[in-house]
Order: sequence, then structure tokens, then C-alpha cells
Amino acid sequence: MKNPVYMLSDSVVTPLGNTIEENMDKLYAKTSAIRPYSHAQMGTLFHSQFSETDTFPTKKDSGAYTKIERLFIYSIEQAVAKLSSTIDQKNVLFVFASTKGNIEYLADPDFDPERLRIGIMADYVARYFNNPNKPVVVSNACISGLQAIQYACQILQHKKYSHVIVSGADCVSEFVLSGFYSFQALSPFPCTPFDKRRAGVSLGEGCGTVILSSQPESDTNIEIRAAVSSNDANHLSGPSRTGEGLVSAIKAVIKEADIQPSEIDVISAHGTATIYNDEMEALAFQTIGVSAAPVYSVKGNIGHTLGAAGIVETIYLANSMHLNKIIPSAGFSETGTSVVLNVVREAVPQKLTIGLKTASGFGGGNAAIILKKQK
Amino acid sequence: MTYSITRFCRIRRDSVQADSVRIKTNTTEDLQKVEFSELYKHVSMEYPKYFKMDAVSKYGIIAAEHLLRGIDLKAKYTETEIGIVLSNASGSLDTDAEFQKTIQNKVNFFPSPAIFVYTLSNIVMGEICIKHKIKGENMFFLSETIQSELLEGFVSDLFNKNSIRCAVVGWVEYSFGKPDVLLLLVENTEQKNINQIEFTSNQIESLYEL
Repeated sequence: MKNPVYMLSDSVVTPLGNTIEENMDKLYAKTSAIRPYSHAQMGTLFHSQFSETDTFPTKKDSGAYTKIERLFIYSIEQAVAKLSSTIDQKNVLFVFASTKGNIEYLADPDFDPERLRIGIMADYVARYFNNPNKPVVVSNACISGLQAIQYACQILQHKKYSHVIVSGADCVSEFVLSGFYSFQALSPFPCTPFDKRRAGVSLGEGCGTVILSSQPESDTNIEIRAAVSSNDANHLSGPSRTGEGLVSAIKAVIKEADIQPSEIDVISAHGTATIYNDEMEALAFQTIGVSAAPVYSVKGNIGHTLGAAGIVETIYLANSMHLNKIIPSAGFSETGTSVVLNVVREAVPQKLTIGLKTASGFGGGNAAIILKKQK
Repeated sequence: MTYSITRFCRIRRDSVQADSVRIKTNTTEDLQKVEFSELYKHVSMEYPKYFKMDAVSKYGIIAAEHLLRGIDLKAKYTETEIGIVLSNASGSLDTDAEFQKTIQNKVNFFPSPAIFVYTLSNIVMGEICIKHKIKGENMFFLSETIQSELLEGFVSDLFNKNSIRCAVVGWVEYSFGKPDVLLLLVENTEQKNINQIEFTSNQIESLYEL
């Protein structure tokens, strides 16, 4: 990127915890928030869900907002509060990522159908903050979160905004659960990415917010060196067998970041724990020549948070780089891909300078981001 | 740098004949009945998968066929040099409602995988990518109305940083039975000629008004 973009502040709200510190502690301890839930028609399903008593205490009254809207507001408030400088909303752009927004209200006759449109939902959230700028909404399936960051990085090149607040969220709903159930893609136990006995995905809910700027607040702010996407152009709901699309995204992001593959210290993979996804990623990492790098997936901890995943997982990666400690891949015990990867079994203290985050999704999209620690 | 709109396709419900859609391209204009089989026959395409698609994907595929018919992009660009940036207002809500019907009745609970696969905003983009082997940058935005500055800005940035050399850009909306589609082919043409349209937000809006 011509003008470097820095991660000034962040927030992650998941069933693991409402602060990034709680989330990191639990990731290092390999704690999983995935629990069994019983459904009258689908039987026992495993996913990561907030408890009903979790109300997300926002600063102003947010009683008129839906669960996902409150989740966005709560997370954004936390990220803003952690900034060391004050921001002027007129110089701030909101970029949202979500795949399904308020979908849980689809069958609710009392719900304003306009708010089922994610663009309108985004306006509601931006209005809470009295932000005068039209929010940008990215909805590109499971790569939405990484692409919202990509959009933010590109718009920051123009110096039109001082800060971009990137926030991604999705909630577990009967709608999405039943869809994955119909695909027979749900794991009958908490998902185990890259493991031999993996048997599908576990869904999850949560929100991640990162505040980006081309002006760092401190020399410890992590830089987003590059962000790109690609498309498999192969199949809507299955990854390419060869990993060709992911390979092209990783090659492009390495080139844009102006680094060598050997410089990558750690990879935060997509790792959904479906047979085909994890196998495809392993092949892609081998093709790029990074299969020896430590790699992990957090899907075993928080499930697949869909539109939030790219943002939540980029924030986890950045925080692990601050702490110089690699996140272990919860649920992994035995290699289950044809290419042997260096899947992280226990938290590893190690100096981390460059991290790669990847994602792949329905519709054939792949995305990749390179983070670099300055100091 | 500015880039050129070398082709376009606009599809919208006709204002007079409610059962017809108007399809305009840079060279043609047609009024056709809304039946999906008619639209399919008219582009003379051999693509049986079309009949499995949801409505927004069908319109996206038809528009992309009109847009790209008769040109060989692969002769000029590699697959990863071609990008696609689309947007709409309703995401996949029309199909979401269809899927909801399959889980609404608790006695007759049969979630349909064939419908569920279409319940994401970007699936129409995925279908166009598969049909035309578009493998470069791909992005899907949601907004209430077409955001011409957003599209122009993001796509121009991708061209400027040499991520892509060609792009399919536009708006693919379908709700309450009404299609509203504008697809543009954007290229970096060295030699300008008078038929070319500059890729600017104003031109995107003018073409949308057609």
C-alpha cells in the first residue's frame, strides 16, 4: 500500500468474552465456546452462541435496536473508547461486514422489513454514533470481513477520512443453521479444524471492530501491508480441489506487501473444519511454499462467525503478534490433510513480525491480508 | 487515470408494459416478456444450469451474456486480471423468503439446500464468475440505491494499483418481481475513440437512468 494503514484500536465481542483480553486468554487456553443445543427438528446442533442474558450494555439507550445492531454498537463503542485521540465523526467512515444482518426477524410480521436490508441496518448503527457519512456495506459471504478491511485500506489512500471504523457481525439463527444442516455440513461435535476426525463446521456469532488510519497513534500499531481477493470461478458452495483461487490471492498479497513467503511467521487460516476446505487450504499453503509456517484456525473456539470472521480473526492475529505468542488451533490432534501442515498444538512464545490471514467463502471468493508489526 | 466503459447492459421493468423488461446495450434495445425461458432463448446461450438459479442470478447471467457476447476477453487478459464489483439493495432477500418457507412449517420442516445456496448477496456474482471464468478481485456492496461514486472509486483504485486490467461493474437488484440491472465492462483503453464512455460516477448514473 502506498500510504501505510495502521490498526489503532480494536474490540472483539464473542461468547468467549466481551473484551479482547478475555478472548486472547481463552484462545491460548484452547477454551471453546461451542455448546450443544437441541432443536426439535434438527436434533442436537453444536455452535457458539451468546447467552440470552447477554445484553451488550451500550452507553446510550439501545432498546429500539435488534440483537445484531446492539452487538455492533457495543463493539464499536469499546473500540472507540480505546483510541488515545478523540475523533471527529465527520472525518470518520463506517464500513460494515455482514452476510445475513437481521435475518432472524425474516418471519416476524411485526418487524420492519426494510431493516432486513443490511444497508438500512448499517444506517441505523451509524446514526447511533451521529456519523454524517454514508456507511459502506460489504457482503461477500465468508470473505466479507477481510474485504471490509481491504475497502478501508483503499479508501484511506485518498486522505478523505482520518479514520475508518470497520465492524463485522453475524448472529446464529435458525435460518442459517438449517441451511448448513441441509448441506449436511454441520459437525456432530465441536468442530476440529485440520484434524483427521473433522466432520464439518460449527457456526458461531460475534462482532469484531477495528479502527484504521493512515496516521499511527503509536509505533506499536500494527500495519496492514496488503489486502486482496480472488475468485475460484469453479463452484458456488464448494472450494476448488486444487486451491488455485486461494493460491492466486496469497501470491498477490505477498507481492503487494513486498515480502517473501519465507518471511511469514504465522498463518491464521480459514480452517472451517469441513473435509474439503481444510484440504484445499493445505494444498494452497504447500503450493505457495508456506506449509512449514505455524498455522491455526480459531473456528474450534468460536465457530464460524461468517461475516465477522475476517475482522475478528485479523484482530486475534494482531493481538497475538503484540504478545509474541502464537494461538493454538483448538480441536486439533492429528494431521488430517494430505499435505502435512505445522498446525499449532499449544500456545508458542515466538517473535512475530509478519502474519498472514486468509479466508474463502461461498460464491468462490478468497481473500488474504498481510499484517506487519513495526516494533 | 480514467478508464472507459467499453460496453454496458441495462435491464429494467418496462414502464408501460408491466409484463415486459427492456434490455438496452450499447448497440441494441429490446422489449421482452419477463419469462425466464424467453430471456434465455433470446441470448441463445447453452447453459442448463441457468434453470436452477434464483431470479437475481438469472438476471445477472442474462445481463452478463448481453454484456460480454461476441468478445474474447481471454485474448486480451488473463483470468486473474479480470475483476468484478457488484452491488444491490436487497441482497438475496427474495430467495431468503423462499428458503424461509421450507423451514417455517415445523411439521413439514425440510430446509432446501438447492435454495439455501442462493441465500447470500454475492451468489449472483459467483455465478457470473463461473460462467465467464472471472478470477480476479471480487467485491459485493449493499446500498439502498446505486452508489456510483463508491463503484467508480473502488474499481479505479483496483486499476490504479494494477490488481486488475478489466472489470465487470454494476448493480444487480431484484425484488418483488422487478429486475433492476446495470452491468458495465470497464477497461483501460489506451486509444480513446468517440464511442467510448468515460468511467466516471456521472456516466454510471446516466447509464442507470436509461
